[in-house]
Amino acid sequence: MQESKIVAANNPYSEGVRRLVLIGLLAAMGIILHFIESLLPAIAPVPGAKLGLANIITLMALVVLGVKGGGQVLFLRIFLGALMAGTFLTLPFYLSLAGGVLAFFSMGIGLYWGGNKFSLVGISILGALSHNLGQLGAVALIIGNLGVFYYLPYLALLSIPTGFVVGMGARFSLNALPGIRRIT
Amino acid sequence: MWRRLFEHWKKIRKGDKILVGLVLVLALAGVLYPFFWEWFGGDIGDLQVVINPVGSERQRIALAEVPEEGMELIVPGPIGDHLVEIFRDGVRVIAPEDDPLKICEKTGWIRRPGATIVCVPNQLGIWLEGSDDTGLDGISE
Repeated sequence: MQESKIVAANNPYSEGVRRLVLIGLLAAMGIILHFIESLLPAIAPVPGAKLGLANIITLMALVVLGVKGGGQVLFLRIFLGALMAGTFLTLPFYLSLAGGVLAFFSMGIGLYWGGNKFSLVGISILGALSHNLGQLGAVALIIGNLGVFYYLPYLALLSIPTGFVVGMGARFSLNALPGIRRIT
Repeated sequence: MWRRLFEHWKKIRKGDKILVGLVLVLALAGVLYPFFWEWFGGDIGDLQVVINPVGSERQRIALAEVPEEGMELIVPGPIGDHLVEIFRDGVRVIAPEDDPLKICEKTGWIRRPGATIVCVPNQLGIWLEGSDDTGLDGISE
């Protein structure tokens, strides 16, 4: 640990390289988590509800890399994930873009402009809520009817346990990786 | 392990609690409202089902006019035909074979005003409406 700090201090490129590696790793893990989640059976009572495991990565990226790096991880994850799944520029891609971007901004605001009022759990609940809002908004645009917001209360209720699980996941992961705290 | 979990639990902040409380209250109100809708003066007998495929005309059927044994309707879309089953006390959709997720079918029965079945790949929306809130659509028919 001590040695790596010395190396980092001596080498102006090492911080950038570390950052690049982290962005790549986090984006890859996000894509994997997204695939794993699509393999899980849908047990939720509301159509289309899911756990949002990939949000763990978005949240970690926001904490470790800041807003800019978190955004890079998010876009890499969504674009590469869609290209690999063969859904690029189709409906699932737009839905995941709408939800992901809205969740990202709300979590970024909660994390960096929330005045330390929220823990990671609260921030991930915030993210889950706005993810639902973004996806329902996208569906409403496609269908041309606001009726889908009928499901918002159900999805909002579910976002509390899922947000809790995701926030805890992000917190445990960050605690297990003390070496990568906050590279901006 | 449990002790460590408890340590994490203690890091829950005030903002988290306020957020969870707010969401719980608002969401529960939203979830429960349709169930007390009749109590607020709504009448199931007035309901009509609206079938709205994107790009073609809306179709409205009053549930009271549906025959006792129910009726079936075939709605075509870009990836196949939906079978819409309409009964006096509810509506459901059977998805076409090619629907990858079949979310519209998994939605099951809708029985309350505002309840919606959506099929995103087939660009179809089906929902229930009270006859009193036809609004603009009622005029444009």
